[in-house]
Amino acid sequence: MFRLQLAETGYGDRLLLATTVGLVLFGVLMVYSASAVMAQQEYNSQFYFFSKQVFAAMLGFLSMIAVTKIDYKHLKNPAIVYSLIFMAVFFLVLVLLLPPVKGTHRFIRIPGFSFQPSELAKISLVVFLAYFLEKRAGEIRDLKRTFIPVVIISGFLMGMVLLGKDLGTTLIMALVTGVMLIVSGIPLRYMGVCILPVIPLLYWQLFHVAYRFERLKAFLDPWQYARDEGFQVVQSLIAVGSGGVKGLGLSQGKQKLFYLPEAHTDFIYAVIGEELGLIGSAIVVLLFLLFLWRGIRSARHAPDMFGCMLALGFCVMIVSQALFNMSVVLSLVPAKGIPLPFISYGGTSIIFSLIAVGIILNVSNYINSENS
Amino acid sequence: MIGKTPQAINPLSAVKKRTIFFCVVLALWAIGVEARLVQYQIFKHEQMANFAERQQQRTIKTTPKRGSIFDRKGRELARSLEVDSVYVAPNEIKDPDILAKSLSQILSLSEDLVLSRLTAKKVLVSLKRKITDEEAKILRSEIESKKITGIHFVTETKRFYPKDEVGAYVLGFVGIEEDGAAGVERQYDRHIQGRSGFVSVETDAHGRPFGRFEKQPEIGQSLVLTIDEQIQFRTEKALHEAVANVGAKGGTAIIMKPKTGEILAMANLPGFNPNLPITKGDELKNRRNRAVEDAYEPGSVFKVITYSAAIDSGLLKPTDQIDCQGGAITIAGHTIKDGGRYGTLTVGEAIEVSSNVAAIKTGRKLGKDLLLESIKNFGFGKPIGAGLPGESPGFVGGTKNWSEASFGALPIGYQVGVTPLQILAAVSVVANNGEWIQPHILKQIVSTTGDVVFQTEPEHRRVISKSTAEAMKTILEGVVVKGTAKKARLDGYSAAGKTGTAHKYDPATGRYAPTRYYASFCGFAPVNNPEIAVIVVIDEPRLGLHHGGQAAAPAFKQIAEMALRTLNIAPDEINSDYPESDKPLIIDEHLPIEDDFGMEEFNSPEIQEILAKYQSTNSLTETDNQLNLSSKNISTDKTGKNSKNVPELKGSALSNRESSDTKESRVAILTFSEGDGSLVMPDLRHQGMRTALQRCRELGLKVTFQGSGEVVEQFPAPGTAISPGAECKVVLQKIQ
Repeated sequence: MFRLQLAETGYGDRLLLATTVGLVLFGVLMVYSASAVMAQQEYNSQFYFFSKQVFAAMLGFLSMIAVTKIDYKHLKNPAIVYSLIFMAVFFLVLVLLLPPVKGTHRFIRIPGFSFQPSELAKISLVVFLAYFLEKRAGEIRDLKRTFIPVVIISGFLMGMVLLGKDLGTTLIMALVTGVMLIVSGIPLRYMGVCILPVIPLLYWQLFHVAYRFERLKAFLDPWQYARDEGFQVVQSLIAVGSGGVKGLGLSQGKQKLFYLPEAHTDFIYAVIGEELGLIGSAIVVLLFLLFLWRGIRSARHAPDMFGCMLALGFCVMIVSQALFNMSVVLSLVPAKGIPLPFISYGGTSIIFSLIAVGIILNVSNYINSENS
Repeated sequence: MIGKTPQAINPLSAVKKRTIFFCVVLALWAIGVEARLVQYQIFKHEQMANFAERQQQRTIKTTPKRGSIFDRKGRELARSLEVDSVYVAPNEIKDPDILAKSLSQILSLSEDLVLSRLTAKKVLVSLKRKITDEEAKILRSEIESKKITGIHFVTETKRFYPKDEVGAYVLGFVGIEEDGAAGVERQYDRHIQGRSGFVSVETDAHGRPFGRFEKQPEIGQSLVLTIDEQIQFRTEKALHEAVANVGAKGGTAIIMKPKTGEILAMANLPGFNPNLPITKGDELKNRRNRAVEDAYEPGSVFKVITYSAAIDSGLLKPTDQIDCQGGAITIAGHTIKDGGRYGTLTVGEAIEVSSNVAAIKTGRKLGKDLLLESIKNFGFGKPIGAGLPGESPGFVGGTKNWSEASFGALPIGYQVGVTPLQILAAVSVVANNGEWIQPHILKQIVSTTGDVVFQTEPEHRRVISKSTAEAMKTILEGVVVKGTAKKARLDGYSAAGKTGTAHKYDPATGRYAPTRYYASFCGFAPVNNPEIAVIVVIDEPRLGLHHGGQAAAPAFKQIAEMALRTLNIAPDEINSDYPESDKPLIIDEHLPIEDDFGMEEFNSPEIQEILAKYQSTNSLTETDNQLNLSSKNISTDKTGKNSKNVPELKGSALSNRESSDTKESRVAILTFSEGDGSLVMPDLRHQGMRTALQRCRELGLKVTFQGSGEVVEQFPAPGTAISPGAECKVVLQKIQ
């Protein structure tokens, strides 16, 4: 009966699938538009980033299809869950031991290929939380058996990512962990206790680490610091604002010509704003909202706690990261390096995001079966 | 569905319910993002686009070429030339010290200044703008021979006034950025300035260009003025003489056509050369066009308005008699006197002698309201809109706080501030059958393609009836024939007008200066069909010559005669009652025929063609022809009669230029000599004294007349070779 179900629905929620495919294809196009001139100049080929992104997207789609075909319930296996955690930790440690790239320990570089362990860490974290929270579903309010182990393991993963100077991903991981714990029924006061020690740490980080304070000021008034700390944000706002309603037209943007740093990665949304205007950038937001709706719907129709938590965790992870990225581009939150899921250039990000979607799609397969 | 089953109490359904909360939180976040997009892409779009443009584009403005300014006959009064400006790129300079020395010499700048520019910490710095062709030439050869680097030339435009001072106040001048600073240059700046172009280079953040837009500057439109350059030049010359003759500080003269409002000439003294830059602050003040920018109290000229109003209202008949009370009248405690102890005078006589008593009594008869209304109707108290900047509206005293004393001032031209042009327009009302017509300086605006894009349509309105105007014409002719302005009487033309002698107001003391005057005369000619109206205002003539009739009337005569002749207006009277007419009249003055304007008119291709034709028929050598082609050898004859030995040319070029001024068909005669600049005596027979005199003057001959009427005999005979300045004698006889 189960196998029959699979054959019938194939790739799960079609709207979710379509939204994902649309965002990825659109992303590939924007990566080309944002990087062509720079790629030509730096790598002597305007397709340098484009072709790598196409390759990654294809690999991502294959992975996604593969994941869709495998019942998510197979993941409900401590061997798989803990080896995922182990792998993530292994690579996170490895990346710290390797020489830094652009001042951060985010990438493991093998010639022609690079791997970002924090992406694996995010996936592993969600899978672990889903597994563990379902396992402890009966004793969810048990501090020692549930909350403390969860905090230790996820906190360890986040700490490792933070050591790699990837604050953005750390924040997303913390957010996803928080959401999954609250939804699973962990008492809010536990969370509060957990947040309390973070407050002085945050205070110290903001006001006593000189460059962070400067960044905060730059965030509050980027135009005042347009030449140094606020440069990126100012250039980003100029790009988005100059797009207007209709935009300058695909590939017609000028801010990507070295005015806008990270135009094809973390600030690709600014290029979208400039070239496609309010229409284009608002549609991107709406697509992520559509993704959110279908993702949450899949979670709510999951047959078990594990599936629900998986779908919820991945969905919140992708959507909150997207909103966070857009908020950085629009200077709604202080600048943090974090890619826009499906769209920003970056092989690891797109592959792991598509694997996550594959798992949600797989969960969504149960929508019909549950109704019948 | 699940909720209704017993399983509903299991944790899963609670878990699923809680997902909604985060779904809503994320959706709200998304709305926040959308709101921010709207803020930046709609409300701040323009600002952001500006920022983007500012950092992405390097734009260099290219200045347009200003349109030319022409007189009514198409003579160029102002044009823009392309000149070089020198810029320095300090980074490219090798030996600043040595270079500074040679550059300072070539460009006549101080060495320190040049050195500071050569060593400036800038990419590009201006060294000297708008250098002369000479300087550019020397500098270029210097650069070439010494292989100097870092000196750059940029082409800019520079305004050039080929006639220097001529018409300077009308034309105005331009600033260093080629913006109109005064005169029509300023008034019509937006039409003639053209549109600046730009070269815009789009660059990436590293300053590398990736796109280039260029917009060529558009040449400005051209102005065609109502001014006649020839008349303008001669008016300035005549005014200059008049001012010198009476030792005055300065003066103003304006000529306009009373029927159309076209201003033919407008001159102020002292003059200025618009080609020269202003170096001191007070020079700017001296470049005020006093003909329209400064108000003065006109004095007796203003009586024209008082009497016109009184006659037009029916309160005074031209035949009425006015008791001048022995030449004194007391108004509000002030006694105002006349020049003589006049008894009862007719209206005409009262104006001829310029009686203050009669004018004041006439003003009283009109009453406050009618008097003030008439003054306003005649165009006082508001700017004329003649097409010149900075026009003074003038003022009319008593409009706000009338007092009885105003009757002692307004009717005789005190307590009113007027510009010379306002007076001219008011007196022209009489000349123009009672209609006020707006004086104007601009005839039309012509686009670069030659299309007329704007044509001045002067405002006009009836001020007094035609019969009033006729009556005033007769009265004002009397002023010239037997009144205060006998010196305004013209040779060959009837004229009418009114003198004015007004004390200058001394702002330092707050009183009228007892020994300083404005002497003025405003009139028109010929009386029955006025072709020109002229005002002459002389500022502070020497005491003893300070009356309008002494200081301004002779200038009027000179200017009006010159203008009428230049316009080829047929004389309307041979003044047989001239006291001089029976005596031999020696004309030894040289009229400004030898000015340099004669030449230009004859430089056109048509004329060259005509000359070539003449040359072949008369077998003159080319050199002869060219050597003798000076203006004084060329005259026009409008009678159409000519002797056979003088070549006849139905010269289209010559007569067409003037054809708008006269309906008579005219024939141009070129009178050539054979050799060293001597002339051929023209045939003056069967011509009137007026024409004969004019012909002789144009040729620079001294002429003696005998008798009156038509020329019956002349010495030397027609066709005889004579020299310039030769004396000739003409016998006239009245032929029935």
